[in-house]
Amino acid sequence: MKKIHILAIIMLCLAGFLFVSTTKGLTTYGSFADAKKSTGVIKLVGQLAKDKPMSYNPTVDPNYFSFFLKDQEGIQKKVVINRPKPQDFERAEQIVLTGQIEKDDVFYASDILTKCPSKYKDEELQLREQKG
Amino acid sequence: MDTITYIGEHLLPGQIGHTAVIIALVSALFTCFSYFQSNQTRNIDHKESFSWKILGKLGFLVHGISVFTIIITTFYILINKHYEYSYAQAHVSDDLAFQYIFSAFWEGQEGSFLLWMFWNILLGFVLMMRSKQFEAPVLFTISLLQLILTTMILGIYVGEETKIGSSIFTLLREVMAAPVFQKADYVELLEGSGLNPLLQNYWMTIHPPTLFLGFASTVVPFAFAIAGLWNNEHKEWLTPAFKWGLFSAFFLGTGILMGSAWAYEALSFGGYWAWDPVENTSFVPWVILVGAIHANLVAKKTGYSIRASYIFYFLSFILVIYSTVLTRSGWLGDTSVHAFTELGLETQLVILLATFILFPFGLFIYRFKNIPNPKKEESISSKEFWMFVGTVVFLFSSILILYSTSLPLINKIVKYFNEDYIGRAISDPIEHYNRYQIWVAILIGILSGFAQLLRYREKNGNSYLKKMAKPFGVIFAISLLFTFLINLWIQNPTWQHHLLLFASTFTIISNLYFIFSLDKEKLNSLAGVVAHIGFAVMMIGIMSSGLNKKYISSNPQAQRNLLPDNLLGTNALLFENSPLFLQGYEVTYLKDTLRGNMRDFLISYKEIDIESSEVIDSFVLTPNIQYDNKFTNVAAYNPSTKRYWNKDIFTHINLPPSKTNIESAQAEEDSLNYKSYQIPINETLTILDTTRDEFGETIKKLNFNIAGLNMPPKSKEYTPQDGDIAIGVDVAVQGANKKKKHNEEAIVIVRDGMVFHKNASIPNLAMKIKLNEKILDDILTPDDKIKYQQIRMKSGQEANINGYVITFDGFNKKPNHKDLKLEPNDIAVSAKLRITSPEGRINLLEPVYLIRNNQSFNLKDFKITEGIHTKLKTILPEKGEVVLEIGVTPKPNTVLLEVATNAYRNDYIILEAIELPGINLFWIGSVLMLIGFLIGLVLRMIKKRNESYAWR
Repeated sequence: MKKIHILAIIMLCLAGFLFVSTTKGLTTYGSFADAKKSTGVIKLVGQLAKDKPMSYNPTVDPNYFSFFLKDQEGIQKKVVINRPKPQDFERAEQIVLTGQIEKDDVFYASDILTKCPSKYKDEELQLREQKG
Repeated sequence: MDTITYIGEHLLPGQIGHTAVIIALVSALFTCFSYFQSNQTRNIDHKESFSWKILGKLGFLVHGISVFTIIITTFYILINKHYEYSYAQAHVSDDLAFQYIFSAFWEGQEGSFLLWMFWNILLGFVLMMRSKQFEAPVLFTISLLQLILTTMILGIYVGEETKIGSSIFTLLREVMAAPVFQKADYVELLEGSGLNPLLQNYWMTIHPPTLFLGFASTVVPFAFAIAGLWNNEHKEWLTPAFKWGLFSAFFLGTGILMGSAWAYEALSFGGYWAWDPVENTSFVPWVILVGAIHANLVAKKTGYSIRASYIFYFLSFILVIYSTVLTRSGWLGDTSVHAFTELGLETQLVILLATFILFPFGLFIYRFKNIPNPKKEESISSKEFWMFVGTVVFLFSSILILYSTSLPLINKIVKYFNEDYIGRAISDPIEHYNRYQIWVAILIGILSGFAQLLRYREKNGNSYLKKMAKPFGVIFAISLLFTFLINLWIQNPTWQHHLLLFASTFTIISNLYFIFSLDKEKLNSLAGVVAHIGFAVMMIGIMSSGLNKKYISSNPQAQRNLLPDNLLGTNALLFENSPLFLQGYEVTYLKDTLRGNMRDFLISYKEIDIESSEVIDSFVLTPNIQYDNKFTNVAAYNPSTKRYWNKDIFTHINLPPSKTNIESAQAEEDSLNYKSYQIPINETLTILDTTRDEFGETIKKLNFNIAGLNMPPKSKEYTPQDGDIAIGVDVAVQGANKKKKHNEEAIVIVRDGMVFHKNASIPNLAMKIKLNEKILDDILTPDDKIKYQQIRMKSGQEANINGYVITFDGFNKKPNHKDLKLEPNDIAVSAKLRITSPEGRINLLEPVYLIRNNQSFNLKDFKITEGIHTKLKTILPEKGEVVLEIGVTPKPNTVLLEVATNAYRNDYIILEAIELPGINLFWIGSVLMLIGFLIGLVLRMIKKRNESYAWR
């Protein structure tokens, strides 16, 4: 057997090991129902429940922002994140959260991503104010 | 439906552009064909081959000129702001500074395709002159790429539905249905959307072109590899490919690093790398390219690794295309913060990718047997063996990154076959990638330190290793010592970090030993030595800035028990002028100032020694925010960083919700309970104010005093514009405790027929004060309603009109009046008037007398807040007299103010401050690494002519 073959086998084993452990480190997309069942971190896609209260009161705690999210199955739950309210949050069409549900039935997010309708593309055509 | 004849459209540039696109497409096809023919006939009929080559050159020249025409036309449209073109409407605006026209050009997909094509053409021109026997196949490959890229900007409909490409010359009315297009003169009504403020940064003018030069140039070694396979010149292509590989790695690396610098300076995450898909897909081709350069070097020196060289160069370019596909298709969906716009080019992008996968690998398989491969295996103690291992590590690194980055795409594909499949995702990208890439870095570190000391084509491995045992031992010991020392500085390392630190110091020491002790081909090896040391320094920098990162703004004690420990916040609240002690710093938000459409926040830091309580160091940082063009929203938050040689203090801020956009501000304004008070000027009025809140009723005693009216307002918050009527009122308010007098200015502005208020805000009293616009009616009297009195005066004389004492202080022959724009042959003189008001205030007014084209004009000067209006009617030179007209208008005795005493505090900022120790090691290391590539490139260019193959 050539050395190159030995090397190839070592590399393949290493690759296999890394791949398996890579896949293990991944989470899945899910709903609040999935998050409740799961013990680990989950990714969740949903929309802001606009009729429910949203709270960001920096003078009380600049690192506490809470809102209600409606997941894709229509379930609404409170979400808490430890950072200031993201820019243009109300306009987000879609919110992607990473986190988990704790005992108090609140979803604690460690990461939040808001997808806004591209501000500079799809907005209504801006027109000059007509003069005279 | 009637067709509308539009007025004011500039259709000519679009027509020129469209024509140029068509010519570019046809000429690319023609070039492709000619060079193909030239290469196919090269061994059969030299003359014919040469003729085809000339045709190819001409075709490429025409193609180049057409693409340049497209680019120049696009710039013409952007610079002249022809908003009838959708690209101009979407990317520029009237107020965009000229230097950002370039950023606007490549902000959109069509523009960035053009940028790519632009570099391809310049590279093509150089290659046409320099690539000798490879000209035909190399230029064939490049024009094939150009052909497909041109279809991306074609914008032609085939049938009703299918569109090929997206044209940069599309008119807005062709892509958008809006009522405004019913008007024939719609063009004048259009306004540009402007450039994303985050991109209005100097890095954004140099980062994209550099990065795209890097991307584009990966096609060059790729094309040489194609040429080598096609013409069965498997060794000859290695030399030019190596040079171009270094070129490409240098520019791609520089482009990526500039992107990091931009992210660090302009974005708020406080880092230079986030493992974002857009970063990953440009990083992976570079990693593969570095692998290719190593394989290529081995092949040149030893004849091994020719196959690997082919494959790596192929992959690096294919991955550039893959990156294009991923980032322009919208398939990455919600994994990236980058905004992707879909242009519906997915099919074309896949065709592009498929072409450049099938073509090279088909050729590779077809020629496989002809590729020379030494029978004898590399010796395990040879340099080439370990370099090869290194390239395999690069490949692994790339596969792992690519796999994770492509997860959204993989999810989509699997879901297509299995609807129940639940998509997988990365929960924390930075942690995820770092966990695996640390092993890559460890292996690369150890390999580059070890292999550097070995020799190519080693025949006496054992005796060499014996000879080297001692130096190896010394290097090992020194590296261990340094690892130990640096470990004292790095906080919380895991054993993997210890290992990486050792690998890095080992690389540095071994490379230093190599360059100073081994005496062969020193200059040649300099490139590798510098690049490898750079890599190792960069790794140490990544560890020190990442592991030693400290959140100055975190305030664990102040966190309420609302959040789990792992979610403790990193932001602190800072009220204006009240210092906060945070992690060894006294941090104070001093003030903020408006500058154009930016607002700067001055934040002072005092580093305090805990034991002696002495200030060790102090500095001021000014993060700022940028409003959009209409001041309705905060469009960008720009961080600010204090740089030391050994650490950075990175600071960025958030604002109170009501200060971030007009809706929140309006909502807050609407929630306020304003009460009106008629307040006399120059008299103190005491008001008993009753507020009701959840705790009951509070009665506050407030003293109001109005010191005066200002026209224009004095406050810096007011930016004058032509045609404004603006009045400010100075209000002084004193709370019941009479401790402090708050002086503020409330402003009302009439602009373009609309009334705006800039309310005075006194956070300590939870107070907002609005100046009622009634003030305008009180003091604005139309000129024809003013009763003027005529008087004659000599220089130095005094007159008294309605209690105003007027003194004529002589003439000013160079008058300065806001409505006076002097033209040649104008004669203008003003009378210097000193007017003392009944209250004893002195005002200097200068009405102007102007003669223009034998006609005389009077320009009035006035001070509304004093109720005095003056005109210089005529001058009687023979008597040395002036005829003045003086008008007096009533002055208001009181001002109507609206006062709210339940305002939220918004005199604060939310601060995030991060200390990043040793971050300069990252920048120094990465720049050193790039310099390594540059040295290699320059050396190859110098000795290009007498290059020889050691193994021939």
